[in-house]
Amino acid sequence: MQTVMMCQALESPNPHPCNLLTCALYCDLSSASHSLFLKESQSSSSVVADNGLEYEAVIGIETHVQLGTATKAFCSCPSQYGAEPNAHVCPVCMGLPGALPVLNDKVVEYGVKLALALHSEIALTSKFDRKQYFYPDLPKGYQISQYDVPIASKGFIDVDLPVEFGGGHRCFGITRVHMEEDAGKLVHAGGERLSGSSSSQVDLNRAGVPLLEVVSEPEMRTGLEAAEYAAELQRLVRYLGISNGNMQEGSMRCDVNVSVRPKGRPQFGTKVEIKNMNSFSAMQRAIDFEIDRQVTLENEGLGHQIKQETRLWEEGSQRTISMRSKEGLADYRYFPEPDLPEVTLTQDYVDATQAMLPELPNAKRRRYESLGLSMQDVLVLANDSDVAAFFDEVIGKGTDVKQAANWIMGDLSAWLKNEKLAITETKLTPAALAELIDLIKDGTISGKIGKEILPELLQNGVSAREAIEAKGLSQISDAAVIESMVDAIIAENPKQVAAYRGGKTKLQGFFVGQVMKVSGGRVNPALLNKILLSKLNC
Amino acid sequence: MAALLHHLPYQSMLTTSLRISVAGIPTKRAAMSTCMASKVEPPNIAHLCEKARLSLTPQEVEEFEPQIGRIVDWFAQLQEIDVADVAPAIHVGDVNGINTLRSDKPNVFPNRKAMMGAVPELEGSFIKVPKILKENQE
Repeated sequence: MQTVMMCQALESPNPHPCNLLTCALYCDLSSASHSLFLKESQSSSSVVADNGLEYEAVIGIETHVQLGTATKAFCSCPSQYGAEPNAHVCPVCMGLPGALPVLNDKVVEYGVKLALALHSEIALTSKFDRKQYFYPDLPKGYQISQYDVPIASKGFIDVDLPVEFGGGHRCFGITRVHMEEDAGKLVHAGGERLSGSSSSQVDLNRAGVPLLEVVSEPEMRTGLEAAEYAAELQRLVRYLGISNGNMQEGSMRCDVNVSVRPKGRPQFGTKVEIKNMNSFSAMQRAIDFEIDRQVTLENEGLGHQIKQETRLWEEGSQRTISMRSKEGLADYRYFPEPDLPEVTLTQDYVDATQAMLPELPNAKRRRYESLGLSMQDVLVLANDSDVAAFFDEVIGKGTDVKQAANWIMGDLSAWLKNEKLAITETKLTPAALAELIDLIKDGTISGKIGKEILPELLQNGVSAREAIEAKGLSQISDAAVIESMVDAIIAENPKQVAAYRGGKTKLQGFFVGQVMKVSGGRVNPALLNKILLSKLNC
Repeated sequence: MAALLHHLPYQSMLTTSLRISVAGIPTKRAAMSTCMASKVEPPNIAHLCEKARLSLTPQEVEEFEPQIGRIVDWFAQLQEIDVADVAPAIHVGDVNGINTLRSDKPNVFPNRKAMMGAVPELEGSFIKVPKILKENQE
């Protein structure tokens, strides 16, 4: 454990688990960054009402992550998106009498992976329970879930806030992670109105698809923090390869609980649940709207109008609307699932899984920071594990870090976006990019030429050298050759030469342009300017 | 009830020495003697019926309530057992050493036609159901 400096985080009365662990890892950070680890500073974002009273928002998030396994949680039906309705069903997931569930070993593996990535305590023995309620998309009349003995609890997640919103590091607690199954899909013909069709349609392809539910501690204080928490969770599941975490597709769903209280008051305010947010930005806007709504009511003495209920985010009108009242806590009559034995893990299994984990986003960000990259660059490069892997390979060849970062985030990204391709889908190899950067560095070609030939490398997989030779693009750095070119241009443009020597020094650019035109842009710019100036000024 | 049975460590089931009538319902006398043990509250029948979507006539409720009460009391004898030194059994029936997990390999169920054929009403390939807007009806 590093003890480089006295850490404020450790001195606080109730050190958050994040503080202790991350402090040990990152004690090299400046004291300014350190103070951000303090839990107190995390809740420094308060809402100031019109009359000057300060309120604090308390936000908790429940996330359901759909796992990318080949089969469902409790049966061997294929788990596939976009198939014909009710194509992938069997007696188990249709809830037909006599069918028995059998747990998919990949679900356990993915659960352990996520639990470890969230630094949580893993229950070596956990169990399943039946959560009972009636709804048309729930064939068995109960959902197999984990109630009081989940697979993991007491973890945390590290989040870096975007630079354009002020930056900063946050550490949010994770209450628990548990395994459960998804319900089918219910389609309401005739919309959500009571009039119109009196029937609905059910597709059970999704029934039984494995989910991991992640419950956060209510430690977020703003819409931004909540959105970044969700983004980091998405980044995590993608890094781990356990889900594509797509909010739009529904493979990651977030339900948010928001309440407000006057700053400093320990008791929580009335909790309101918000559903129906399909993107991180929608989450942020919905939460900020709801905080505003609640603070306004509280401040006007109408706090009693804040009901414990579920509200829907309406994207069109950009507001939350009441869905129905949550009449107290739901009674799901949980009892242990008799058809499933307990889930037993050995410490060896857990350790082996831990050893197999890839470098996680937070660790990657800290490593990139230590390479000297700006936070802005770090956040972009570490966002996608494929991009980060590509970057790591390029710098692994000894390429200059900043150059590699710029090429990947600039020209390479722009090309990929235009062609709608992922970095793994181009023919450009990290070695080829490293070579390109090196050729520019040693002067064989100019940066401009490098940009010109990059598409060739991307599309056809040729090496930089091959492209340069094929097009005869190598940089002209032979002083004699440049001199003869400059002499020719000077001879062809006596008027401009006279004007330049008469005081219009801005015409230097004109001569540079002419030489570049003649040489196909291949002349070494620095040398050209040197030779040109010496000839013009003699 | 089946679920409750799964909670009992096997040995303690054998120590119960209550005389049970042929129908399986404990005799009234036996039930009374256990009333003094730490009481397990009988379920609210009306509430339970609503949760489980069962409809009982008022007559049936009157008839069943005491019978259910006696069954609960019979099980409540377990409260007398001192389990201070017993580790909680998470689930009886764990299979020692036998892998109870399934590998993640797809297997299409061969008789989908028969299952879908048994669905009361289909609309295209969807299952047609009455429209219920209230989510998560318990």
